[in-house]
Amino acid sequence: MGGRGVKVSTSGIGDIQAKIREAKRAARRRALYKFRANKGAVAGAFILGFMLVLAVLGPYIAPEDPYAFDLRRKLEPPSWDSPFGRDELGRDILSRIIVGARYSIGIALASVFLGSVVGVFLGLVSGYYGRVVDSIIQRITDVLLAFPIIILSIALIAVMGVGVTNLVLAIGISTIPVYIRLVRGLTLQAKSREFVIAARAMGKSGFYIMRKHILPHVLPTVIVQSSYYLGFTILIASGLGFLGLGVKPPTPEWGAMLGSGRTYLFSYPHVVTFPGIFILLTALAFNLVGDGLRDALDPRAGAYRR
Amino acid sequence: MTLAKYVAKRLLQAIPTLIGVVLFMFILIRMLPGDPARLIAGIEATEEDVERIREILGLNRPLYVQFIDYMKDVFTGDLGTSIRFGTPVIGEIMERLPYTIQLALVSEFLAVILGVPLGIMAALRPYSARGYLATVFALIGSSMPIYWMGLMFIYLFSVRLKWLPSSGADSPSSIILPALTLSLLLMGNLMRITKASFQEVLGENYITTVRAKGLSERIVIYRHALKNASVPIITIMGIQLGTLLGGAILTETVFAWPGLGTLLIDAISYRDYPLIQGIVIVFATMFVLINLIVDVIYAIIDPRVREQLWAAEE
Repeated sequence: MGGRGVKVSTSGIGDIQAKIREAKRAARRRALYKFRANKGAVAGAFILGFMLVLAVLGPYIAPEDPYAFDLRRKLEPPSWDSPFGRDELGRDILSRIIVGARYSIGIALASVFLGSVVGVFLGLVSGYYGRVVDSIIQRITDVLLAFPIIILSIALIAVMGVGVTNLVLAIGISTIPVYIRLVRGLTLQAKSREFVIAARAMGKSGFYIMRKHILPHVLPTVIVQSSYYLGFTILIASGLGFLGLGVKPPTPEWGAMLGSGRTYLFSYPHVVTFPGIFILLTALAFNLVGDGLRDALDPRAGAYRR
Repeated sequence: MTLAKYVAKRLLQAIPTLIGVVLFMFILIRMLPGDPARLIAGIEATEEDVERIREILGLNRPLYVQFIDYMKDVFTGDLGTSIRFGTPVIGEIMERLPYTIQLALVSEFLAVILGVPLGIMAALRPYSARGYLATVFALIGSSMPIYWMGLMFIYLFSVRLKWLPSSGADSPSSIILPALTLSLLLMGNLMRITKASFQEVLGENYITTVRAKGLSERIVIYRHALKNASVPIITIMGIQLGTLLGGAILTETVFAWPGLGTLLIDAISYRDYPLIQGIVIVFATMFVLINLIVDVIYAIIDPRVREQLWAAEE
């Protein structure tokens, strides 16, 4: 009797699992459909795709060597030969923008990845375990949230020094506290839901529950937040580059190009016009995709900015 | 709980955060690789110079003593001595702070007087061209590298049209371009929030009632709707004051505006760590206080929020 009972119930569980998989597929299809129906989001995705191609293929498709200078041709305005003109050292601005995509976009991607991974982990732990762990993590979060994000990044750069790795670390660390707050709140919600209570009753370990049950619950909100943050961090990263606190010269990061070109603004505005347009377009694309993802995945999520 | 008690409680809660901010900066500065005194003094400095700096920073004492002393100093308004200027850090900050506050307030003012009416206009005709304009404007506003916009403004208004000065703070008109640039950081969002909260309020029954009473549309909008739509608008204004502080650093650099932001960037290029530490602490303190003030204003203007907040505090 007992043996048969178990058999019947396992096949029942198999059915349920198949149904869950089907429901998940349907939810994904629905989300994709909603995203595609949003014209802005599709346009954003196209711009992003284009920028990613530049980032990946940069050096192979750039018409000239972005580092090769020619002082005889310095500050040449746009022409057929160099459509975006040349900078103060006679370097081709178009080539520098194409190769610079990997720095500007790469830094934003890497720092948001770092911030979200660490922030989500700490948020899960803080919300799930509560008590002392929660108190300690939350007090640290309070302190980090007391800094506007760009000021925290500047303070970290001031100590660590400039360079791509330090820039990623500084911006990444600055985005951590918002993820912690966001994920902690969602974890607290999930903790009182049946699926978590059931898993605990089955004796699953904390890390198993966090990974298998709570993480999927918080992920849509984290994805939406990340896409907004990408738009925001690209502005922060290029802003730091503009201030001379980003990458080391002569790296063609877009913000740094603006920073070194601004002296020539009065007579040669083309030096600063084009890198700015690329920063604007990329940030805009991330925000458009963010709006689309929010509508498709998590309509209640708001852009959390600082 | 009365309002005064609530304010006192929030102030008390801010203290551990501020102590944390000071501790964070203290640890950060001590994480500098190598001997901080040697690093600050530079490669060419003599052994006496290094010793002098070690003395100034009190680096020859145990760490916890250094921290307690530093904390005492900070809370009595002593932020140390600037290495570059040899003067008290607090003096340097106080000289520049009014410029940053002035810039932030004028920007916020511009953003409100332009953003709120445009948001209202968009809410009244949500599916017209100007309704979409608000959405598009908000989107571009939050994607705009404002330092680049600032450069473009300089080129247009100073270089081409020669209407406005491009940098410094020598004449009253100097503030126009930086404030306009910085206000763009807020205007888009302000428009979007105004539009959304107005659309919501205009659909409420009491607005229909007021309209049925035959009051003019102007009174309906500015007396009745604005009052009820103002809570989210004021909230976003407060949240964005923090964004403003960050944006001020970039804007000040573009326009050579002599505020805290340019002081900070200078301090970094001179590796003037006591000054960097002081400025960052002042920025964080302002940020914490602004958030506190926003919460209090929030409680004053909306009785529902007041009850919620107080319930949450208990």
